[in-house]
Amino acid sequence: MVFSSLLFLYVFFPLCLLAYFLVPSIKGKNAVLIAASLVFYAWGEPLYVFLLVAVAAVNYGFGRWMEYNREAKKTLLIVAVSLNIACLAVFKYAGLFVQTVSDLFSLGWSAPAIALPIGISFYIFQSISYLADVYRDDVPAQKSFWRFLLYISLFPQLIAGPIVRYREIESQLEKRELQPRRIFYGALRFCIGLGKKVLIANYAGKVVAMLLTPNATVTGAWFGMVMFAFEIYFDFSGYSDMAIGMGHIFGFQYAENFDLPYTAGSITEFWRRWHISLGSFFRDYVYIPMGGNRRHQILNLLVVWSLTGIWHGASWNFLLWGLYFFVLLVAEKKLQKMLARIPKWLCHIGTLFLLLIGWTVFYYTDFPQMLSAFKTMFGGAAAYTQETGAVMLNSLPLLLVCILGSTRLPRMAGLLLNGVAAAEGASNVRWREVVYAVSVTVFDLAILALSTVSLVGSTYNPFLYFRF
Amino acid sequence: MKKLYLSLLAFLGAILLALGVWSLAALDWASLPPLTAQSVFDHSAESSFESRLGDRFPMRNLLLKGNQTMNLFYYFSVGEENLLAIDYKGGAEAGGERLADLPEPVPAVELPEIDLPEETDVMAVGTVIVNGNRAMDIPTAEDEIITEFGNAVNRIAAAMPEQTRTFLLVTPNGGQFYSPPSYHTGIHDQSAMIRRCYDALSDRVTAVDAYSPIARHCDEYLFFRTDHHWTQKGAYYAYSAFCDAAGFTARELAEYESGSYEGFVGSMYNYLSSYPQSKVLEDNPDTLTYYLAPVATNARYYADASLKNGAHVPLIDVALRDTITNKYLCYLGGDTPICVIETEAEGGTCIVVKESFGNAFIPFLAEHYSKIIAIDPREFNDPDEPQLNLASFAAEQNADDLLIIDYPFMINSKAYVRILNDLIPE
Repeated sequence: MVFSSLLFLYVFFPLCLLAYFLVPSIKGKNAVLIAASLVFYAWGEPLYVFLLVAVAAVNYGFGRWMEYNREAKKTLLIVAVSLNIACLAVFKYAGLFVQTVSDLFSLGWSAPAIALPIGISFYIFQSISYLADVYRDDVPAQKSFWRFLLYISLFPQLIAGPIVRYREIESQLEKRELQPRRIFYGALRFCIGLGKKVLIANYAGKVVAMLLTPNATVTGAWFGMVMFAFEIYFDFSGYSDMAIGMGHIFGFQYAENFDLPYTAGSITEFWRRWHISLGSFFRDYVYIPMGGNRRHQILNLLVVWSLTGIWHGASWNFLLWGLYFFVLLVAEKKLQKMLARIPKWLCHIGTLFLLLIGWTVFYYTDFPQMLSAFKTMFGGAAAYTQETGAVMLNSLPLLLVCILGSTRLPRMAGLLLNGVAAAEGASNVRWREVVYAVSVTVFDLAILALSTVSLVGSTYNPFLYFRF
Repeated sequence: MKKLYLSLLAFLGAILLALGVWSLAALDWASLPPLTAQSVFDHSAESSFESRLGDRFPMRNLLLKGNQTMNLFYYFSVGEENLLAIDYKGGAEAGGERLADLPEPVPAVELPEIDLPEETDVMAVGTVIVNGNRAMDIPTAEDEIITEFGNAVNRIAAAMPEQTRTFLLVTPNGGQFYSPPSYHTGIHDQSAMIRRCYDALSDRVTAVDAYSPIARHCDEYLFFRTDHHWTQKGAYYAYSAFCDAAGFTARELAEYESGSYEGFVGSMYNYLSSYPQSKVLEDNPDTLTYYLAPVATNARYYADASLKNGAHVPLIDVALRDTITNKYLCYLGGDTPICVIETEAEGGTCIVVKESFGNAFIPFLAEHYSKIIAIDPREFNDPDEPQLNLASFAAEQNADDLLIIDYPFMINSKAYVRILNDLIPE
């Protein structure tokens, strides 16, 4: 089940909310969330829901064991992390591995037909972060299996992230405050995310499908790639917004996952703003343990960016994509002084250009297609046709929304409204807050209505993270 | 303030819940496929439930109208050009449309009911454009498939009885003549597609050059603006080319008795109705002019090739009800599996394997054959469809001629090539 579906919006979610708020105790609320999460996952993955529970059980067991047998905790950590990686290797990378070996040595093997369990990369990484934190004594091992299962399976972040660290929500698994203003904010964040996904990303995706074809023109290929950059941003950050919003509604506080990445003036800055939970995971659990910038920095970066790339899908283009950013990031480090002299606006344009090249590598899982796309983009096709022109003209207002929507403008408007409501010392604070609350409700209703119109009227509603 | 937030949240939650309950109550539960282990594991139960929920969602018609208004923003165009370009998902190979009130003939053999998986991964096969007050579907050449199509026709011709002549007529559509240049040149050039197709034909197949007379007369009303078909006048020029190839003399068009339907808004409008650019099509409907066969005819259509229990259907229905907006259904009642037209003319038997383009063409054949058998191959040989072996059927019918009529989307369709190949079992 995906958040941006009529079934989720009008059946699953309201029923879940009703049950959640009717049950008074935290234990009961947790039980509702576990049941809802398993139903949510089983709806799309009726078989792999058992894998999800098994992963939770094994990691719960290892967590307890590490705490019980402290002398052997390093060995236990290695075994447990290896098991998690093995699980990922079997379900996500076995096909790629077998196919590659077969191709390299002309063995004629066919790749094993193992379907990728949705969200496996997220819940395996959450499990690893838990094990590492228990090993480091940052957090005690969770005593209750059900609370641990809740952490692993909680549906808001289960299939498209963010990667939630155990230590971030450890206390919230046992005690959560349900404040109306926070729930209200959660509803707003959810609607913002829904709008990003349904009203922007889905339509941008249609333009991408129209333009990035084998017969693309130079203009069409560039325009299509720009729209793909917007599609993936609004889709992914939309999912994160919905997850964060639902977290607030249920009383959980998730860290932010996107921070206006296309406003970045460098690739380094972009990665501080894009999929923050993944970047910080690799930083804290791979880069720093390997020595960080203290020793073998380049090697550490190479490992981290190779892993970052291949995490996005079992295809070599993702590895290439990761290595591309490795090269750019190392280059930025080496050329730091020189880059500092370049005007900021030029750095920004350069960054966006490099990102588009990166998204091209990301988009094409097929190497010949990727090469042909690059050839097209750099002049190896007709510059322009009426077909390209018609699609571009049809998409102009959407492009404008995409550009404005990825700048600080919407956030400033939100802050302004919030600031007006909460202005200290104002004589009519109460009325200001009423205006704020009513305006936000109208906004929520408008997004819901428009998204429903779009979901009923269009069948195009892709889920982009099936490879993650 | 706590109360205010709680009230607003309760209001939002109540709206979600109310719509959810309403949509579940409106769901046609009986129409849902039975829940089986297989349907759960292959996700078909999940997808059919979700699609039916969307189909029965409360206030659906209002929401669809809202979607059309919203598309003013997403599919922006300016001025009189009224330009729109969208992906065309095809689907013509899946079967056509027929008049809803045709009596149902009884199939000779009862077929097992099979739940076919829903097609969710249909790729775009072309483009639909609106330019001014005309909409066109623009095919994209798939050279390999075109050659496969030619080979499929060769295979059919080779399996025909010795005396049966095989003709292939591939017609262009309106996109070739009325679209901006880049939509009918290069990969969209339908004349090149037809040439490639004809080049792949064996000596047993006679290629009918319908393209040339249609191109010569393209300043006439040969293709509808709101529908993807040709007008019957367009079909007439193709028919004249067929006469040249088959050794007949074509009657002058003026000699036919004719009539017309006004206010025809066809398939292109329906396909585009959620886009703002379709408004101009609705405001500028087509006129359908029909030309009656000059000899008396009796047409019956059948559910399968047993030709039993048929139902009468007019060759050209001159009294379509006003409520039938798709006036093109006046020809043969639309697409039926197999339709036999007996005529008072002296002549042999002609089997026409066709999709809906053939329907407007067939009335012209009436004066040259005593029996015309129109077959829609899309209605045969799938697991839930009747079987047809075209070779043995042609032998049974002592067919003199076999004419295959298609438009460019079909010759570029892998699914349709498979359908043609299935007509001659291995």
